[in-house]
Amino acid sequence: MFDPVLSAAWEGWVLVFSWPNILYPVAGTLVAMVFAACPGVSGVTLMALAIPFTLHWDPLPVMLIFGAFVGGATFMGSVTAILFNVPGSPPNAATIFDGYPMAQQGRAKTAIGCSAAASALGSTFGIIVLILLIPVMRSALLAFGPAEFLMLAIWGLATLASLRRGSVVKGLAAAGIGLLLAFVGYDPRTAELRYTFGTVYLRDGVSLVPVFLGMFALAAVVDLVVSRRPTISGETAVAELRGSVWEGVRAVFENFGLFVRSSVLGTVIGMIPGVGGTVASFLAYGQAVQTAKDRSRFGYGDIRGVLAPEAAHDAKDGGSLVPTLAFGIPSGIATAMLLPALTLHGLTPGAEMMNDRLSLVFVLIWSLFLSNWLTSIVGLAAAHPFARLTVVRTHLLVPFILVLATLGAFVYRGRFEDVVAAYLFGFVGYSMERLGWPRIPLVVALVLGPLFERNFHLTVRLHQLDRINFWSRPIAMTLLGLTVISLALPFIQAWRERRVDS
Amino acid sequence: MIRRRDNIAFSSSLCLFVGILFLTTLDLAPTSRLIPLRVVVPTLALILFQLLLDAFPTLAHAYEQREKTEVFTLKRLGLGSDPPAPDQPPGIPHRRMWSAFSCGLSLLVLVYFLGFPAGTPIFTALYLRVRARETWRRSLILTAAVWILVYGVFATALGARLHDGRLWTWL
Repeated sequence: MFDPVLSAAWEGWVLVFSWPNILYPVAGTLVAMVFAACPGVSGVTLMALAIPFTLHWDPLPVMLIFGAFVGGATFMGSVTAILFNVPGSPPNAATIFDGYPMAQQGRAKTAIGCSAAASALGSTFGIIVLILLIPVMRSALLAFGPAEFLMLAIWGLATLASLRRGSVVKGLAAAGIGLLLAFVGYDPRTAELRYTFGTVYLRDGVSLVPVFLGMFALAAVVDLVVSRRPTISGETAVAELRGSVWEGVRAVFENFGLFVRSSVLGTVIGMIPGVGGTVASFLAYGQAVQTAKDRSRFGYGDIRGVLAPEAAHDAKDGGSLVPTLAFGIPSGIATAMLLPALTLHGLTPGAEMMNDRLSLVFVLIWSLFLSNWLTSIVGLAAAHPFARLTVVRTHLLVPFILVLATLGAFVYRGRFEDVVAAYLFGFVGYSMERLGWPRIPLVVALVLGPLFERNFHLTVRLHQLDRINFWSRPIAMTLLGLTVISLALPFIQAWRERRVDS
Repeated sequence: MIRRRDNIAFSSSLCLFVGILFLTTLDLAPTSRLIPLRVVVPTLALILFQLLLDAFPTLAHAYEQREKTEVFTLKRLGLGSDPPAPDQPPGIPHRRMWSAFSCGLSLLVLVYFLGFPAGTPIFTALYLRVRARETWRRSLILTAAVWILVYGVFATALGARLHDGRLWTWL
C-alpha cells in the first residue's frame, strides 16, 4: 500500500529540490511573507491575485508556487501580531493574547523565536501526518458527523469562556454576544434576515476582519495613548531587551507535550472541511490553558500561549490538504483558493489525482514543507531587528498602526462600512479590556458561530428522524464530557483555593 | 468609584443591546429564531447577573477578592497589565481615552472625504507634528513612509482599490 506512495514522495522531492524548480517555492515564499506581514492582506489575497497570472503555466510550477503561498503566509502574520497586536490574518489573532504582552515585557525576540520554531515543527508534523494518512484518508474523516462538529464548537467556546482572567459569568456572556453577532445576516435554513435592522451592510453578516482589527489593533492604539507608555516594551532600552530567540526555540522542546497536542489538534481540525486555521489556533490556545498546571500567566505573556496556536495553525496546513486533494472539499479559505488553481490546470482532486498524479500531489506537499521552514529561518534571522521595533517610541508607532488597521479593514472587502465597524469594535474592545471583560470568548464565538448553527440544525434534525442517536456517539460524548469539565474547573479551583486559604 | 460607575455603564449598555436583540428575536419566524432564542435568553440573564454584581458590590465581594489575589500574584511575578493607578487623577484616563478616539475619528473623517492616498499622509503629518511634537524633518520622513506604504505598496504594487474620497467625487 505504501510502495507507490513512497516512490511518488521521492519523485516529488526530486522535482521540488532540483534546479531551477526550487526558485518557484523560494520566490513564492518570500512574496507570501511580504503579503502576510500587511494586516488585512493575507496569503489568500495573494493566491487570488496569482490565479490569472499563472493560467498559462504548466501544472508543475503552479503546484510549486501555490504550495509556497499556502506555507509562506502562515508564519509572518504572527510577527505583526506579536509586535503590534495586529494579526496578519485571522488565525494569528490567537497569538496576540500572549505574544503582544511578551513584546510589552521586552521579550519579543523570545516570542518570535518560539513562533518560528513552533511553525516549522508544527508544519512538519502536519505534513508527516498527511503523508501517513494518504493511504487511509477516507475512514478517518467519516468519523466526524454533525453531532461531533457541534460538540467541538461547544467545547471550544466553553474552554475559552472559562479562562481564569475575569469571571466565568463575563466569559460566558461574552461568548453569548459573539454567537449572537455570528447570527447576523441571512438565516442559513430559511434565508430570513436576522438582526440587520434594515441595513444592507449587515446582510452579509458581521465580518471577522474588522472585528479582529478593532478589538485588538485599534484597542491597542487607545491603550498606548491612554497608558502614556513610552514604547511598546515600556521603559526598556534596546540593550535591555530580555530573552533570546533560542530561549523561544527551547521553549518548544521544554513544552513538547503541548507542542504535540497542539499539532495533533491543528492537523485534525485542518482535515475538517469548513473549520479552518482560526478555529485550530483558538482551540489550541484553549487546550493550552486548560491543560496547564499554572494558568494564571495566560493572557499576560505566557510563552505557551504563543507556542500552542502557532503549532496548530501551521500543522493545519498539512491536514487541510487531506480533504482538498482527496475529495475536492476545501477545509479553509486558503485551500478553497487552491482548488480553482488546480482545476484550471486540468488537475481534478479525487481518485484521479491521488492515483495518476500522486507525484504532483507530493510536489505541492514538499513545496509547502520547504516554504514553512524557509519562513521560520528568515523569521529567526530577522527576530532581532523585528524586536527592536518594540523600543520605538509609541508616538511614532500610533499613526502607523492606525493607518494599517484602517487600511486593512478597508482592503479586505473594499467597503468603508468595514472601517466604521472596526472603529466601533475598537471602542468595545478597549472597554472590555479595561473593565475586565474577556475578549477571547467573543471573537471565538463569532468564528465558531456558523459551524455551531449549521451542525445544531443538522444534529437536531437527524436525531428527530432517528438517523443518529446523539447519546451513543463516543466522540460527541467525549467532547461533551470535556465541555462539562471545562465549565466546572474554575469553580473547583476556586473552591480548592478557598480551602487552602482557610 | 469611577471604575464601578464605568462597569455599571458598560454592563447596562450590553444589557440594552442584548435586550434589543431579544425583542428582535421574538419577531423572527419560529424556525429562524430556534437557535438565536436559545442563545439570547441565557446571555441576557448572564449580563443582568453581572449588572447586579456591578451595582451591588457586596454581592460581588467573593469575585473581587479573587480578582485582587490574581492581580497581586501577577504583580509579584512581574507580569500582567497594570491595575488602575490609584494616584492618578480620576478624569485623566477618560480624557486620554476620548483624545485617542478623537484621533481615530479624525483619521476616519479624513479618509472618508479625501481618500486613503491623501487622507493618511495628512493625518500622519498632523499627528506627528501637532500631537507628538516631533520635528518637521522626522514628521515629513515618516509621512512619506506612510504614503509609500499606502500608495506605493497597496494601491500600485498590490493593485488594491482604495477609497477615493467623497470630496473628489463631489468636485
